[in-house]
Amino acid sequence: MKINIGLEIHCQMTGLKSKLFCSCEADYRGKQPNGNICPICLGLPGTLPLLNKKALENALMLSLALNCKIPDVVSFYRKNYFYPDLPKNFQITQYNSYQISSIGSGGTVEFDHKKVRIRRIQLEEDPGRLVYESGIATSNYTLVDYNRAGVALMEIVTEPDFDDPKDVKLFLNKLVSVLEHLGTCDTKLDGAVRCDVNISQENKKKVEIKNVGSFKEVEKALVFEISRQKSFGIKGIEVKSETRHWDDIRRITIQSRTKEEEQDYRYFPEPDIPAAYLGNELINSLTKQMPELPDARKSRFVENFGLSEQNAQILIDEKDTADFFEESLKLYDDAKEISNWFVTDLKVFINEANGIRSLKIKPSHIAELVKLVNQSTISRNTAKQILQQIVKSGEMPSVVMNNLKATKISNEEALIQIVDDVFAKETIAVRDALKNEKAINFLLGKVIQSTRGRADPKLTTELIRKKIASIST
Amino acid sequence: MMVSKEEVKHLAWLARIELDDKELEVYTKQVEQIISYFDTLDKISLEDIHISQRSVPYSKFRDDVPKESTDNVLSVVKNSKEKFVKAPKMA
Amino acid sequence: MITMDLLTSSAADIVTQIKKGYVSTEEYIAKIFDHIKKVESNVHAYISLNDLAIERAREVDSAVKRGEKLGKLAGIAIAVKDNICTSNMKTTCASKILEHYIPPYNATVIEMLEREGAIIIGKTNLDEFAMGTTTEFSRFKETRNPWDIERVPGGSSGGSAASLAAGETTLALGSDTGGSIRCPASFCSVVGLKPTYGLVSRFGLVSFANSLELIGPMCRSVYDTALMLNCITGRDSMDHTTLDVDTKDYTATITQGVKGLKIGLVREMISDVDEHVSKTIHDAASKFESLGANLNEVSIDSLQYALASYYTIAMAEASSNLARYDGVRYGIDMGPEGFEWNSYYTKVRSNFGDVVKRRIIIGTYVLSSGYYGKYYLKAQKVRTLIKQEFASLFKTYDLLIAPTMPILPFKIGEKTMDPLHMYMTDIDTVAANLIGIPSISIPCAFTDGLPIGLQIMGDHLSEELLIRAAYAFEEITDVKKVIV
Ligand SMILES: [Zn+2]
Repeated sequence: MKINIGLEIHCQMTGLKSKLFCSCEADYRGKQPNGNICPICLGLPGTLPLLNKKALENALMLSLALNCKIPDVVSFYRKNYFYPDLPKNFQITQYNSYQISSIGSGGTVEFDHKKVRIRRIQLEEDPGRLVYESGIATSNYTLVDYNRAGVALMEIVTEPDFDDPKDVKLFLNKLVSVLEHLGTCDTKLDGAVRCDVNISQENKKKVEIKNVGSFKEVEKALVFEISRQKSFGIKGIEVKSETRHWDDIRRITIQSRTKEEEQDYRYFPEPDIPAAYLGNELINSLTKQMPELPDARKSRFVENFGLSEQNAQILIDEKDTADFFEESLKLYDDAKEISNWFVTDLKVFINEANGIRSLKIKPSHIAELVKLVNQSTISRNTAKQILQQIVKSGEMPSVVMNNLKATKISNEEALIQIVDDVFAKETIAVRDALKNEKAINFLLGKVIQSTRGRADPKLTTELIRKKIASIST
Repeated sequence: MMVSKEEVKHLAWLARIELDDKELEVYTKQVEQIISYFDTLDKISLEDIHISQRSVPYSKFRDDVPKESTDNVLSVVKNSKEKFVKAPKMA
Repeated sequence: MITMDLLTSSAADIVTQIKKGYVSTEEYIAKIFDHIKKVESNVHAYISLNDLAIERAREVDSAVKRGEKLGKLAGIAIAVKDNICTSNMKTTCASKILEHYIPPYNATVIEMLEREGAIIIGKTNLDEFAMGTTTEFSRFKETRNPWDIERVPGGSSGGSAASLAAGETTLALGSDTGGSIRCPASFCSVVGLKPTYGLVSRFGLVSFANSLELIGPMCRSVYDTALMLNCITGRDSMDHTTLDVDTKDYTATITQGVKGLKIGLVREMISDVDEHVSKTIHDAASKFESLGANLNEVSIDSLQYALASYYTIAMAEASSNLARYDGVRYGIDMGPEGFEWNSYYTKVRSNFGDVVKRRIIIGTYVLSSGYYGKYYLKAQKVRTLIKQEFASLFKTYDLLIAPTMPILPFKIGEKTMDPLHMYMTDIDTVAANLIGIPSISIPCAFTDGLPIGLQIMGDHLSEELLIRAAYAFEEITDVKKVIV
């Protein structure tokens, strides 16, 4: 059965300093209610929208990054509808039905050797925030905070080209990385991204899941919804065309309270904002300013550092990780060894902490750790133990190493003593080893175990062989 | 263009304006009269006309510089609670 | 002390005397307030008066005494249409919805005029949200025509025009969406200019139809109009639709006359008008010829669609602009607590007057799905067509003239029952708004005691030329502009 999935993504332009149409701060988080408003974003009579040109530039950058067509002139439209979070009872947005008004359209994004088409990228304003003191159904009034009203949003709409929730996840990973590399949206901030998903299965009606609050939830919402629809199919119940919401606590999609009144947004061109002529000069200069994007960075990692595609992909999926990797590399030039940490042990910590910047370590920590291993000052196992500690404490690996007295036992005399002890205990294994070369590994394991990993494996193996040889003669 | 009462009722709802039966009666007639006058626009051939839209270089727009509003904006708000604006209930 | 009639003198004369210290600003402003007290019960021009005006006047006087540099309009009384935002003063738009609303900021024009020393004496009456041609549709009072108080003063800037004609102010500000400055200027025998779209900032003008309207000066002389225009033009960082043009001194070229100018009399604007109006305007055309202008009749075919185009666009924009009045953030407060939001909004918005509600509904209609192409888009195309026709005329002609209003000021209540009939009275003024060109209405003559206004239009940014022609005409015409 064929499934078609399309996405409508809203990203706040957290890279801006001011709102889309006024000079209030773009960063509204943590401010007291209605402490970040002005006559314009409160929609007072007589005020006019003042377009933030940096917002145009940033949206243009994203459009270029997603291979969109850029029109010579972009314009704004009013989307008219009443809602208490909307100060003017219309939203200034862009609209492509009568002419191409949006900043980007007709783009394509490649991810994991697949392709998705981008229908459009447009700029619009975020509404305010509604607060219910005792739940939406029982509150006798609604409290409104307009601090967010007028914050710049980019809306990214894909064609319904996905047929697998896994691909949606991979695409979103890529999008996040692009946004991070451009610096236009910090997707980790609470509420910075929202996603609407539409799903239609062959011969079935289209279902929309609105307002999934984070990209991580999108795949889960999709998997649930598809299985819900499948179970309907088995039971012979028809899937209705409807709007649903993702309940991220119960992990199910639920039908939106039906107020399925037909919307008529009465779009028309915003008369207070003249169309903006972009011109080749701007596009050329932005193309020049364009930072290295994830695809190019990945290729560079593969070509210049000899990393595998897979490892390079893991590194560039989050810009912070890739930056951290490169900074570490500047301090200690061993790309392969350093990258191994990022795709194995360190990755676990990054995922747990929701980003490498939340960990206490700096590139100098990783550089030193790898150096210590390469110089055989510590064993890899010890390094793993040290890592576990330093991501939480921020101490330098050498400090931890000294504290643990974790120096590898490469003192021959000390090791001979331990090997002798093991041989005394493991008589059966020693007998096996006399006949079978491979049993040596068992003895080696025992030595390392009894030194809690500090025994130098190379030296220990040598000593074991010598001892076996001396017994057999 | 004929305009029905149902249409006017729907338009009034879209605009969040209440009309009683008498008003609906009068408005429907007036709206139809005026819309019919607008239908004179049908008499002219406009296929070849392209709307001229004023455009300005993007550089003329506002710089991304934050400024705190010096106006006492909240002075206009009558219903508030702990700095929130009080609005009617949603359900 | 010089003896001059402070109620009827021009701003240019009064400001000269104030600067010399010959006229006390305080006395002058007090005299105006006394006069307002006397005549307001007949005229009803003002919605509110500025309590701080006398204080401002004293400041001007002490600045004169200290020998400080004074602004171009130092001490001059100015009446402001009540849809232009003034901080610390109510700005009601003559609507119940904004009855007690005090904006937290000043419109750009207010800032500019106050910087030049002008003193706001009060806020004048208008049709609710500037939607009307008579000022009968104010939700507070009906302004009367000072020349005949049984008749309408025109609208929607009726309060500003009437206050000038009744000697209740020296200067006034109006706004013009489809004739709202020029119509009342014509009906009250004063001068009113709608500047080129973008020449004056709209920041602080409460929007009715953004793409059509502008603030402009209303005065008792062409010279004062030029003087006032000098103070309010220029690009404003608060309004993206303002033009990047240098400020000018419009008084500098005012006496240069019309000799050698090509002037067109617009046939479509004069063919279907009151016979007194027609005769008066033809006489005016001859006067321009006598002043040395070349005069021809011209025709603009697309004008027959101007009114339908204008009203479609104006109502569409209005329906969206007026959506913000929902009684939550500001304006009328009906106590939202306990109401379901849709029913609260509906209840609040039912306080709009009939005229406004009707326009919102029609504006909603022309934008609704399926009708955008049939109405709104066509209206915009017609607008482009009219623009093209005017542009080609301006290749040959310097100025175009026409009546401002097709009829004489009519009786109060005469046309209120028939909206479409009322719209028709805007037939000659809307074109200038549709295409953004400047247009001025100047007193032309009286017939049977009622004023008739002459309209002069020019190409974009031709205000200098308009003012020159208007001044030349005024110089050879003796028409009363004030009745005290
Ligand atoms: Zn703001």
